[in-house]
Amino acid sequence: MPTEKPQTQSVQILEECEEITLVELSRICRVHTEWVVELIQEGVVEPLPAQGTQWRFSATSIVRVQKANRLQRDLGVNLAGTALVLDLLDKIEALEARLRGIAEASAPENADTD
Amino acid sequence: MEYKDYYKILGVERNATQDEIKRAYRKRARTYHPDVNKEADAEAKFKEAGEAYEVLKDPEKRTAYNQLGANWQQGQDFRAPPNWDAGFEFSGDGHSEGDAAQFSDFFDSLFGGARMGGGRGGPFAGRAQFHAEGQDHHAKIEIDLRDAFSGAKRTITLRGPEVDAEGHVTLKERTLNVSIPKGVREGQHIRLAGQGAPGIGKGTAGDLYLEIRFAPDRLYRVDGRDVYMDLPVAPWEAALGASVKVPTPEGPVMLKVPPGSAQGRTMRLKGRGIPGSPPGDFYAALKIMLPPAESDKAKELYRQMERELPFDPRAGLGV
Repeated sequence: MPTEKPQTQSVQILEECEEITLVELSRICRVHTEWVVELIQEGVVEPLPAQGTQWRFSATSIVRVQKANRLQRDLGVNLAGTALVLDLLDKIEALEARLRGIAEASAPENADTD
Repeated sequence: MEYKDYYKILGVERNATQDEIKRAYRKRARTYHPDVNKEADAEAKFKEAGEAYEVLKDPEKRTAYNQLGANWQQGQDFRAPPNWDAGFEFSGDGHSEGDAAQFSDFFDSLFGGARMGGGRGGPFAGRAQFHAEGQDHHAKIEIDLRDAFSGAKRTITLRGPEVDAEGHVTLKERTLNVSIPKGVREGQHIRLAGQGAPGIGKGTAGDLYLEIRFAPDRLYRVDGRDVYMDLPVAPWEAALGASVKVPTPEGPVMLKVPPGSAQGRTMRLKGRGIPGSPPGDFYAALKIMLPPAESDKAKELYRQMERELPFDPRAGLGV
């Protein structure tokens, strides 16, 4: 196996504070802007509070749009269903994080009764 | 190459109706979809079901697959008989859905020709120009919590097909140095533009997305940017107050335990969580440890407390 010199790559963290436009969001996710607009109308992704005339999005929307795209493509979920699935997945993730904390804190022991 | 029992993969009988096959596939797809199921092997199972459905949902492919015979076992070493598909006509240009590039060698050996159209006069046959954008790739990367405080460098190896000038496809390994900036949180995604699958023709390469995971930590729990730990203290430290040394991920810090602290009291060190704007906080929950009553001296001290302190921990229970 020929080993090449590792490339060094600039990385981009998808941060809440970083802003992208509707066109950038659609291009990065390889979807039509019309479809992203539908996602916005369904509340799957939300634009940031308006500063000017153009919609801006937090970069974390990329992950959400991609997830919505995969769910529709792979499972045939419709828009409303996609919104519901994503909300429920968020809830499950939050609950699982809390559960991990609780499970670590209390490993119950069996008690003897006198 | 391993034989794949597509009926077994979908959990249906060989004589299942097309409706039964569709139902079985739908159910598996929902269960194992990698966005829904976080198990490590979910993605593999999802793809396997997709491949099985690709064959069984199409009466032409299913009939062709069936005539390989029912005596093959899942995982058995397999080689497609020569001209095994003679007399079968595959319509269209192969598959309609699913992640075609990810299907198994077994699938390729049976239906690969139909898919690429190569030699069969398919849509991409000959030297026709064809351009397609490369796919995005997704991977998880596990880092230590401390890396989120200092930033980290990781070398990752990616393996993917690459098309050379003559159009041959080879598997190639690439090594990437990725510097993970400080302040990353669990579940965040890092995007490496152009590091996904290469495009075909003039198509641009896909992107690579890395999802950050923290390795489980002996001391700390993380929620967003906030970091939590249990801080063991002696009963007298909790009762009388004390200044104790706390190991934060950035190094030890002296923390004041106020007098009269109860079990579970949580102290916050503002801004000592994962860096950012604003940074997270560090929380230490007091955990009162009892000195063991092993020595005579320790036993005597406990007895002295019993005699001299008017203390009934169960006073409020009404018994």
